[in-house]
Amino acid sequence: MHLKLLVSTASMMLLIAIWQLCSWGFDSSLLPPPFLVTQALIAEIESGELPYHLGVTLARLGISFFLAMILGTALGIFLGRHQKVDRFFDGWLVIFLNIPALVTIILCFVWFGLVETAAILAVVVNKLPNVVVTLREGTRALNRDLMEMGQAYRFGTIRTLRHIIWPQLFPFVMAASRTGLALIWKIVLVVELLGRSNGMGYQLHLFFQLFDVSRILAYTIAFIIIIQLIEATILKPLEVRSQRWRR
Amino acid sequence: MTHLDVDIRGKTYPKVGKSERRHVIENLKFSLTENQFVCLVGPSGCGKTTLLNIVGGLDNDFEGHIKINRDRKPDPTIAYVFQNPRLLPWRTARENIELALQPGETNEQIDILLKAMGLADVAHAYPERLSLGMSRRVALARAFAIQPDLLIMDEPFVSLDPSTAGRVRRLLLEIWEQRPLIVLFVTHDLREAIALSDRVLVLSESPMTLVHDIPVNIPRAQRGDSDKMEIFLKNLVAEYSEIKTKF
Repeated sequence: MHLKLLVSTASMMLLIAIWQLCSWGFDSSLLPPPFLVTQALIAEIESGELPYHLGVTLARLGISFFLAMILGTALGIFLGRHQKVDRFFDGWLVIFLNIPALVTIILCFVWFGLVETAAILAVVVNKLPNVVVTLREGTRALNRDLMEMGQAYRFGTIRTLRHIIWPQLFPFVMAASRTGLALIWKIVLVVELLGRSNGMGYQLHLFFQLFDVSRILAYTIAFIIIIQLIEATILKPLEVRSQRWRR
Repeated sequence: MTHLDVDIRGKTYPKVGKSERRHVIENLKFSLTENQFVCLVGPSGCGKTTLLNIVGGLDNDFEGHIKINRDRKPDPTIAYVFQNPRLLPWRTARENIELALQPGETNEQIDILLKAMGLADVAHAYPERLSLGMSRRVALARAFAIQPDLLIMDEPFVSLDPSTAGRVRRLLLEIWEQRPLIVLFVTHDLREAIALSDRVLVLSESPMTLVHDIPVNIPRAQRGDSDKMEIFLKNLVAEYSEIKTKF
């Protein structure tokens, strides 16, 4: 455990050292050194600007993430269990998977106006097909022997879902969550940049216009820290707990 | 008393890819009444597991009917011991047994059963940490724990060492003698069939049908006598030309 921590700390130190070295070769306004970025980060936190905009973005991210996961999981399981329906809607999925995120965002803002609902809907529509496809594959891979065992011992719907289906789908849900989190926060920023007056995306757009690279990097670092915290305190423990039966 | 009527006019597997449509069972009819222990013997691949799946309610795609009555009880309890243990890998040995009980049902016998099966020390172990023999015993304990009216067993003692197999056979007979229950037991070993059952149903090659219905009329007290068993077996093989000691 100590060695693992040591290795990851050394790796981060190396990255910061490379960043410092590179910043010496550039104008500080193009690539500010780590020290200036840290100063900007502290200033933004103290002014309350960063916590506010970060909070707004995280709220959008949370709502879109849960909506996409819940809807996507339900649809994925349904399509995975019903071959004929899946065959009918497979083309739709391929189309939705290939629509560029920017197109969905623009269309949502055009159709529903520059409102919160449109922003959330745009993010959900972008993420939903990925969750559906992942969970559909998970459902197709369900162990038939165990399903028959549940049927023979009359588990019923609820117990079958809880004790037979869910544990098998969990790795797929985790995979969809991880890729979902990574994808959604990027989309949320674009949504905010295009059509909201608050949030990280809006702020980044503002700093871009002011050519303030220090603050752009400060916001990015703050966000990466939050996403890593979500991974370390929620996703990883959940995964470890659910996989404790493995040798 | 439990009654089981099997009347399968036909069971066919549809054509899939290059494999042809296959008639697995044709005009198979037999009845089991009261507290009967019946062994099914027949060549490999003749359709014995298909028959068990039909009786166990896992396969309803056949022509004919299966009737199971237990006095006036509308819904008799059926336990199925599959060829492979089919334990939930994410539940411990004990939890696998408990899950087979209906919600709200408790069975104080679980600990006694675990002990009798030689599983007391591994009750809280996950199946991945158990040997195949141990997993098989957990699957047997699961079937015994629900106190079934009909117990379906598909070669349940394969891969158990002779002494464990002998111990579990004795336990099975004890359970069967203690409470009225029909046992439908598939085996390839005619000696095992004679040692355990009241009747041996000899099945044909696919499409499977009933070839012989042989009553085993050696008193159970005398079945430990290997000489008497060998004589019975010899007579059987001499009387029915299609019968082999190993199928």
